[in-house]
Amino acid sequence: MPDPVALRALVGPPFEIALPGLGLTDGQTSVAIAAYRGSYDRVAATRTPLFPGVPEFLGKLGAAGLRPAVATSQPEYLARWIVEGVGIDEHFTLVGRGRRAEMTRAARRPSRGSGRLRKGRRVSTDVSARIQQILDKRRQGLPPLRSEIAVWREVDEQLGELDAAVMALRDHAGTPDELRERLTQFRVEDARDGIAEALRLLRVLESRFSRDTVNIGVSGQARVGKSTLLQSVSGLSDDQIPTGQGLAVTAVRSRIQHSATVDRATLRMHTFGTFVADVVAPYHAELGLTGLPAAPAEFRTWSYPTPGADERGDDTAGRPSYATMLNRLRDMQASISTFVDDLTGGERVVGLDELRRFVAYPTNDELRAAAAAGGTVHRRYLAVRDARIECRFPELHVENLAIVDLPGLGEVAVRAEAHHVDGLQDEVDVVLLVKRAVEGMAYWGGADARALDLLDIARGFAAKRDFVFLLINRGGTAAALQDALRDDIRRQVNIGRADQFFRVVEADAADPADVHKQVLVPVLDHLADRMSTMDADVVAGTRAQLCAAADRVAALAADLDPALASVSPASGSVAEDLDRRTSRLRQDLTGDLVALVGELHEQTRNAAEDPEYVAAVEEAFATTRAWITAGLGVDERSWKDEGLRTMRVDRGSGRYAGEELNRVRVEISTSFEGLDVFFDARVAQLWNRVAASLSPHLGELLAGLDGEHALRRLAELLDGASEPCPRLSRAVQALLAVRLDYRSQLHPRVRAELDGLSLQVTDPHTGDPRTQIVVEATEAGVEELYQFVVRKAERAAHLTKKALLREGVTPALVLHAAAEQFEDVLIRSGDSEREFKRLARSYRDEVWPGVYGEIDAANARIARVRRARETLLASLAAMPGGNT
Amino acid sequence: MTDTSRLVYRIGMVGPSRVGKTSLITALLRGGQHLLEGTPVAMKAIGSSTQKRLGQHRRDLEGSLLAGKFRPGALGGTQEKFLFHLLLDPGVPDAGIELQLLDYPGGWFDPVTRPPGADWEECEHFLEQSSVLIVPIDAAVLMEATSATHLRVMPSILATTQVGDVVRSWLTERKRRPDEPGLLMLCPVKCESYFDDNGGDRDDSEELLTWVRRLYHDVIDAVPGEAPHVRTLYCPVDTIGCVEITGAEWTPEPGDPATLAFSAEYGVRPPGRQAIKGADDVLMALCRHLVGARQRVEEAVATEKGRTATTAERYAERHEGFFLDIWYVLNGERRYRREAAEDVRGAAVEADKRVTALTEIIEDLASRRPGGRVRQW
Repeated sequence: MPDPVALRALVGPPFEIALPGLGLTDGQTSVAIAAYRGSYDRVAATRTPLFPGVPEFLGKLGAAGLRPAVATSQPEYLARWIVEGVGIDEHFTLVGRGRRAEMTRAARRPSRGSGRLRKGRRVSTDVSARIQQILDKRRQGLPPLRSEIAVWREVDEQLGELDAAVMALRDHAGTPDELRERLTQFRVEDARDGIAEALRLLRVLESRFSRDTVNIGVSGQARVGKSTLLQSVSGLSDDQIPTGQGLAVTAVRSRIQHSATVDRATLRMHTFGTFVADVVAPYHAELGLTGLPAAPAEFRTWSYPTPGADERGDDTAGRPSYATMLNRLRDMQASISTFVDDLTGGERVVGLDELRRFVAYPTNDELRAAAAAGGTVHRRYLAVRDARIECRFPELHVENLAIVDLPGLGEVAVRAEAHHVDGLQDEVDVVLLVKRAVEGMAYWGGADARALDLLDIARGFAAKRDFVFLLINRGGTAAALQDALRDDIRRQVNIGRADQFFRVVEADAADPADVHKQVLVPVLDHLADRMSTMDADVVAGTRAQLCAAADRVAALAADLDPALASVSPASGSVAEDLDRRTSRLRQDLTGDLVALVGELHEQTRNAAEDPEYVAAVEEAFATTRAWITAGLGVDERSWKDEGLRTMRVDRGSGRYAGEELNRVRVEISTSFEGLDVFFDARVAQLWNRVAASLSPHLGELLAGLDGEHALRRLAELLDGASEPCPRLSRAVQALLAVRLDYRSQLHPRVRAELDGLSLQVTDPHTGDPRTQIVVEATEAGVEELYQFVVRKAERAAHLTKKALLREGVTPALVLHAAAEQFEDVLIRSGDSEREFKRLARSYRDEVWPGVYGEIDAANARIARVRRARETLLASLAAMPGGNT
Repeated sequence: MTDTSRLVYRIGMVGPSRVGKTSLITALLRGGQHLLEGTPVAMKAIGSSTQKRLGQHRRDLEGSLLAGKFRPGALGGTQEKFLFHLLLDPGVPDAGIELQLLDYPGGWFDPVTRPPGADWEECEHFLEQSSVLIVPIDAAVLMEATSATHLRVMPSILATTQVGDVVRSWLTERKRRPDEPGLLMLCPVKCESYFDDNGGDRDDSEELLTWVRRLYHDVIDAVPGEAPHVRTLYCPVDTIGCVEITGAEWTPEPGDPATLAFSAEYGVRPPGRQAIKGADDVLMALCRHLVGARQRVEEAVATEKGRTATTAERYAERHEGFFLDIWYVLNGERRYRREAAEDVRGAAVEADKRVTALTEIIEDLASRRPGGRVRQW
């Protein structure tokens, strides 16, 4: 609490000057002022003490012909309340707020009429400036407001995207049931409604802040003098704003604004489409009529039921308003020709002298005349969405003030009340609810209460006391009726205390001066004083709603957490899945290769049992034997003849015998090379089996290939992989390098069996060389030699066959060893696991065709949800107040 | 036992038909004749059936040798009992040692597989009397097997189960005669292709030995447990000598494809003269067995000093069989000596000399070192 000296300094200067002197910020100053006024205003009129002798002094001044005035830096209304409250108001010709010079000039100006000063111009200058400040302040708030609107629109779109993403995930056949079940509970409708409401409120706020005028709405039941009031304020006449007796006259919502320079009306016109949508469609809906006309001609010939002839027995047709609404619709239809040319859309500027025909209902005279003449009633107002009227106000030259004429409450028109509320919310800062005490209606009735209820809705977050003034139109009514109405309002509306909830002003709507003094001045004062607070209230209320909406969206996004958390273990990332599949691929390959190697190992144990090998050896043996028995590759006779000739020439058998034994030895050895066909087949078989073990696990990688081709392709793929697999490639290439042939593998093992096919042999006991056979160069000798060579050849062939059969294990060993080495390197080498992963990464889509497309798609669906959720949360966090 | 002084030396033989028993007996005869050349003792087949059978075999063999190659009949099939009679003849009537070799089918031993009418009791009695049992084995079956299938059918082809049954039965009988020496001889035949000591150019004898031990291990291992006093000898025999195997076939039996029949083809080494090898080892083993038995009897009689000859005879009779035969032989010898001492005329003296020479030759043969092929277990 400041000390007395400091507090004393507050007396006198405006708060806006004094409070910052105490160190308050602008915001704190506003809050302090609002708090002060909130408590002080209520008691100022009744609890302000008057210095003794002041009334008497003022009386003397008046008697002396002086005209005292109240000049204050405080709110003018407050000064007036106090002056009135302490009972000295009759002494003053002016209670005003302004600069000293203005006040002095006003006080010196001769009085008109009652002799008091005309105080409107002076008051309004001050008010106008204050109102302009408020309007300027509002405009400053527009950019962030529009940014926030944009954010909320984004949030709405983002929530839509999240909803679409969740639905796409939920509805996809590949989504796990548990996740689908969780996602089924995700419902965005409430949150989107909240966003829609937030946006609506923001648009209302935007509309409020966008206005370049302060708008006073004039509302009330039909025939209470609204138009008369407007005429008094605007200076317009019946030629522009009709007033009538008994019939509603104002058909178009109009905004009337003071302009020192122009007199004109700007009409916003319907197109046929907006006419149907805004005017016709609600009637159709209310009347239960299906379909809508698409063109004027269709509307013109639209078949509407005749009132009273509708045979439907439902409630719609039975309502009293049904016939009224149907009649109005038919009237529109009948008059289409009179306004169809006006359904142009856009704006049309007309002179004020043309205004009436666009805004007024047909008068009774016009209706009668048309009926009498069988003519068409003009209803051009149906083509007008609204009107903006600019003219010179006679009494109140406030540039930034507009009077909004709202269609009459209680009219039997479709959506009239909702339309009314919308208009109030969007366009007005304060409402004058006009009430006139006519005979039989000089009380606050149910319709009036409903009107207040509507205004209560329309005020939004503004305080009702700030938003609504009750205006008792005294014009043309008896004082008693006025008293009755006034009293009834005090009782019904303000619970017996004047202005308790709503301020009540009274004026003769037809008297511009009275209207000015009794209505406009206090209302404008009120606005100048309270608009900032009202704006703050609206902003705060809106903000609270926005927070609630944002919380709802955030909560909805948070609801997805457990569902999304359950996703990870189910499908995981592609990398994890690939690792898992690669590991399984390696395991499966191991299983198949181990089985294959085991089988080959078994074959090594039963190699001689291999019927194909035995058959191959037997075939080679049979071929050899056939060669031998057929005459050692020539024929027996020729052989002997040649032998005999040679031996005779040589005079001995040595050379021929030696050469023939050598030739036979080579031939036998060569003839067993026929086994290579078998060996080639066996190697190919090994490749086939290895490829057959690999292929099924490698998807489309080796599709259409088998055996050697498959392995060669695999080696190429391993070498050419985006992540090369050199160890695996070498394993495959080593397998492809396996060779199995008689000459290199078996011949060395069985070579000794051919030793007998030499002329010279080593004596097994002495170690000395020994000539196996010597024959004479005779027929008998060559015969003996032939038999010897044949026997030796047959024995050598037999021993070779026997050795081959006993060595049958060798091919099997080679194949087994090759397969085992392949398996070892492929599966058990240190690089195996790493290179399998490389292979999998390089050929993922070939090895598991379609799998990762689906996983990618599934993850994309999940990622879409996550992304949408995160984007949404980020937007919420970026909002004022930072929702997350 | 006859009332002559001829020792009947009963030798059992067990093995499938065509395993080479006739070839073995022929080889024993030819080998014996070869061994006894230059001595007063001759070896010959006696009895027309033996002579006929051996004669036919010899003719067949000579024909094959002349043809340069031959293929013995496949082993297996049914078989009749046959008793071969060979004689070590000192040239003295009713003297000498008669070798009786009984060849009977192994299947007869099992009552289930024994054909009706088979004279099994005689076979049984013969076996009881035999202190020697020869098991001829076709070496080619063992050596030419190249596959597990061959190994699986090998016991069937060689009838090793039946052979084993007979051997164990024979061992049981030997067990009842612990004082009487027993001799079991495993004799692979047709071994020419697997030794290089008889014209062959390769030595696969160790492999053959391994196969025999592997296939007949039940028999070999049964001896120490059943009849420790029985000697087991491994005596491979080249029954022809001048041949070598040039082909082998394992063909399914027509009626039983799961069973294979084995046949081998042999080529004849020039000049195609039979060169039996190993039969002498068999004969020498038989001689050692005879000598051993005789020494046992003599020792037994010596322990009966002071007793009468009747007592000694009763001892011999108590042992029956081979020992009784030996007793009679000893008596016969004593008779010849007595007669020679009493009759100084030439005939008696000559007879005594010949009988004595036979004994000496037997003892000489018994004392020779067996050949390198022989193994004793």
